[in-house]
Amino acid sequence: MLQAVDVNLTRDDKAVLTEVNVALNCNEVVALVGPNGAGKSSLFNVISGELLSSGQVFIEQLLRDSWSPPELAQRLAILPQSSQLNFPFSAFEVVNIGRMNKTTSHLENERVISQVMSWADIQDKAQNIYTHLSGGEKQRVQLARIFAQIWEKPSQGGRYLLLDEPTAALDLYHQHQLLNLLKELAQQQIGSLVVLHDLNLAARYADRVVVLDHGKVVAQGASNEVFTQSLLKSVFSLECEIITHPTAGYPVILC
Amino acid sequence: MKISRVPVVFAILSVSLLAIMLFSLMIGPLSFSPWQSLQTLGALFVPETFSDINATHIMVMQNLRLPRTLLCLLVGANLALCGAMMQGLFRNALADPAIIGVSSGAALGAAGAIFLSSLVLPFSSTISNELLVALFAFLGGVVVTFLVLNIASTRHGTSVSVMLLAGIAITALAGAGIAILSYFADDTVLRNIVAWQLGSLVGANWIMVGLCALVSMVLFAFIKPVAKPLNALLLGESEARHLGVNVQWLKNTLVVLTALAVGVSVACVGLIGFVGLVVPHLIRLLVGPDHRYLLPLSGLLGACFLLLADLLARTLFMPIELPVGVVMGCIGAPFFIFLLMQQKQYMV
Repeated sequence: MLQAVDVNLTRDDKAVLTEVNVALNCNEVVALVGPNGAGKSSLFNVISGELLSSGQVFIEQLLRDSWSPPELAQRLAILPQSSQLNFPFSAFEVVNIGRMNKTTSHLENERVISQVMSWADIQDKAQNIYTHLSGGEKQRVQLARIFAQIWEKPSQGGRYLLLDEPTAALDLYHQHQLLNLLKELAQQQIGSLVVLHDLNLAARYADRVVVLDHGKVVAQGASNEVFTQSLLKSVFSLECEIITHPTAGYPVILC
Repeated sequence: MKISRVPVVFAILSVSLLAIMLFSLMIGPLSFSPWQSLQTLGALFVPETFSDINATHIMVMQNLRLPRTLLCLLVGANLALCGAMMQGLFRNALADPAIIGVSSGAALGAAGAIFLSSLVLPFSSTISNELLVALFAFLGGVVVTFLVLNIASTRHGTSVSVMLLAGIAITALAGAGIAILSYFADDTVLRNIVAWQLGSLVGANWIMVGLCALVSMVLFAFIKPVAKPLNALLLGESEARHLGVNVQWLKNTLVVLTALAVGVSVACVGLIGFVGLVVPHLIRLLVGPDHRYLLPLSGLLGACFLLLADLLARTLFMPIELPVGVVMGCIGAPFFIFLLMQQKQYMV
């Protein structure tokens, strides 16, 4: 289990995160939702260790900092919102960077890379120059890279993915394809914490939804419990109708 | 895939390097035939076998041609290799020791050392003097690299414009410092300082060759431990950290390595710009940006490149010899402008 416990973060004397407690099991997909500036990316940076905060982050009951960096990288992979790579690597080479700690043979690496690239549905661009790809294609290459990073199952415990708006640049087909993939990965003990702006994607795919507003967790639980008209009004300032999908049963938000 | 070209590029560069070295040994006021230079070279190492070689030839080879050729090769390799490392460190293909002010910082350090040693003891070319100059040049390089890295680093990576502007400011500051030193210096010291700023291989000797060879060994020994982390660093600092890279160690190591290479090069041959800019760019065009291949091949091409530049410097206006820094400036500056034109759409 990945846990962030009692996280408080201030920036320029303003509270960015207040008493945040979030947990992620390795067999679930958890959606993190909230308006712009609610503190979603800050929470990611606290969990990944980029930002120092009061409060602690545990992975499998051990403090994050007590893991060695390569061991941590084996269990926790992070997809940033955007990447700044501006050197002419091929897409294949970018994914290969995710394999940097691995001692596996060249052949095995190539097999893993072609597998994760097909998961991210980007295998046909493997030999293209990364900087020439479209935004969505770049996003899928980066996805393949973090899949490659956590490919090997650790001897014990689960693996965790933190994805910051992974669907932002993706077309509708790939948005659904990605979330379906995350559901499948959860069955292989790879849990995902996903920042999503599309509440309907969250409602449909997430096992649990965590709602962040003004740096506080204002609701968390199953999507049909969390998404209520009053919450959407108070957090997102939206007047919405919520109906239940006629066949699948998950809530659908109509605005 | 570009990586599949690595063996071919390596083979071509190695053969070219040997050929250019041979040329470099042959050409000069006293020119040798290829066979003569090989024989003279042989006489240096196994005098018994080549006992009938002209003593003047041996002297020219031992004291002039060979140290100059080797120094040129080593400095070229060191500068190109550290240029490639620096571009990885800054995550920017426009970073070059001369452009971001590291060379000037090293030159100020070197000038300071020359000046100081002239106060304490009359300037002479002893080992301790050369080491002192190299040490000061190294320190100057370290200070400037850290400074530029800190000035230009933002949360989202290194800002190109800030990096280049910081380079301009530091170059101006170092220039002012050198000017002040030259103002108070006597004639001998002044000549030395001016010679430094032009960059020349005329004074090559075996102490310099040894010093640069040592630096080369250190640089090449670090290629393997830094290559993969550098690839990760190109994705971004956070991304590299998430991949398990010790980013702080990597940055410190690279700063020290590049300052060492630049400092020692500046101390031995003065300011030679653009090798670290042009060479890695050409290698990237040939085999792509993967540092596992970019770093060693840059070293190899850098050696060829500076040897060629020095050959031009020696032969272009024979018998007058141009400083090799001038030749590199004539090749490098237009190339830099070409790169700027090409990349300006990415820079704001």
